[in-house]
Amino acid sequence: MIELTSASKWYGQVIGLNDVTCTIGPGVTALLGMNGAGKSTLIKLVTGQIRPTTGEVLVNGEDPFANPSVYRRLGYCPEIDNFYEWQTGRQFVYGMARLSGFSHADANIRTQKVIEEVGMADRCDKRIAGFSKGMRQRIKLAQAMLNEPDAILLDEPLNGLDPVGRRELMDLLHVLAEQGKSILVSSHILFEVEQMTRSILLLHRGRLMASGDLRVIRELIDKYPHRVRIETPEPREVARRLVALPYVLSVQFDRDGLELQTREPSKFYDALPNLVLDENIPVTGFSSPDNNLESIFRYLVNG
Amino acid sequence: MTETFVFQSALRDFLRAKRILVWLFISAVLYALARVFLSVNPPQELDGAYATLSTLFVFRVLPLASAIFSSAVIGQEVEQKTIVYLLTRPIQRWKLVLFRMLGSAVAVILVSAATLLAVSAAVYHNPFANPMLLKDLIAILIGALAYGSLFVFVTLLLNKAAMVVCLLFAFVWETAVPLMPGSMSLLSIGTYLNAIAQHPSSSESGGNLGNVANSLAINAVSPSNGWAAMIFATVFFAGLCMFWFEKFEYLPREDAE
Repeated sequence: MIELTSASKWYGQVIGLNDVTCTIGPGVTALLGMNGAGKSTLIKLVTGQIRPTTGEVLVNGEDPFANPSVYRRLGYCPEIDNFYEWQTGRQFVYGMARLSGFSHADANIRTQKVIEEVGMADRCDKRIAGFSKGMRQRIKLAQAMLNEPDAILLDEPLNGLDPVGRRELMDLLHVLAEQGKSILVSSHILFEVEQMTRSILLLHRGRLMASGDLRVIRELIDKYPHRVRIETPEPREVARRLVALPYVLSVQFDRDGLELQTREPSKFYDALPNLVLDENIPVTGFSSPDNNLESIFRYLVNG
Repeated sequence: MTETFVFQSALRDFLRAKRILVWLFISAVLYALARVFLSVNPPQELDGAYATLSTLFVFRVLPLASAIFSSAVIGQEVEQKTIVYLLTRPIQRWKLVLFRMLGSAVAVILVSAATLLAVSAAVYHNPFANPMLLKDLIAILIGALAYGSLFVFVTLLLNKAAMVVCLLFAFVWETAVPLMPGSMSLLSIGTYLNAIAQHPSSSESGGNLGNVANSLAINAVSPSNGWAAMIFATVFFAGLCMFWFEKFEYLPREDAE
């Protein structure tokens, strides 16, 4: 169990985290926020790399700063992409296992196990300097799982992973969550997070802006008009069909298509495929400028 | 067990071929310089010539190597951002800094010993014929620990400027302070190392360089006081390093800015 009570962190005149109170229990919790929101600061506080300026951070009831007993039960996959480049992947993970207190024999066994779990068994004997971004992410993840921790903190773990790697990581996180582990995953990409969990902590400019079930937050947001961009070679014809829908509020034309506003995005998204398939309206693509973190923050801050 | 691994892995890192080859090259250059010096100033007695060259070369390489290796103990980890991996392992921070520091001290002893052997070989041909070899080795050993603990503390205290401060101390301070009047020389680690090494006067055999070397090697303190001062400095600065590293935050360079 991870608990933050009125935790704030100042870096000189700059505030990294501002009066955050939250609890992170078993299961996957996503830490969402744009760059500079305070995600990494929160993770550094929980991993005991830094101390809160005010407030309290506890991991299993203990202050994590420079506390080996906390690190025995904590796994951390940092955002940084730095390694001892001259080492092989196996040597790096083995070294981390030895630093975690395992004997030579146990460290070898653990290393092999986690390397297999992250799908690096066939590639881990090459030098890290030659690893792709995805391989580096997997090795970082492997070292975080060495001591079978109760809590795992992953700072932007999906960066650089290919779609297969992302799927595998998400599956792995679900397995770990089912084992009762507390997993905190930071990300600035809402779409990634939605595939992993519904439980989120939303940070903005150092403050905890929302926490809880992502679906509830989405429903709140969906009460406001939602923009959808439609790409089409025949914008007038498409607009004529779409404005006939009762929940489409307005339509604006632009260079490659049109942008509409809807009050009920879920109904609109349900109806759109039928219009395309049954009525053959020429839609080449669609996206929502509102389906990102920035728009969620805008809604939460400005209403 | 973990402590041994910290020491061994640090030592392996410090003794990587890429690093060691540079120091072996320096030793070879110093051997060549010593041979040139001896051919220009044919020595009346080998011990005096060795004392000159040892003070000028070996006891200059010692703080230089110490400054460079000490900066790798924690400073390099902060610079490379790999400090994150070390700080989130279940090992006490003071043990991390202590055993990595010991690893760097061993590396410094080895590269300084290589220079010592090179200079001894230049003077005596057979380096093991040097009667001062053992005393110099012992001085190098305690010197590596004293310089190492001081320089590691500087790297823990300062960020970017640490290496510059250590190099300035190694060259400017350690050269200028023993030449200052009064008891200023007592503020130099080299003064105590010279007391421990007990070099004979070298001014007669070395010309102007001998005079400089002799000035640097003024035995203002007795060997026992030299030992006491070096042990105190080592324990004091090593203790300070452990306290400091345990107490304060160390973030990767980019994050710290």
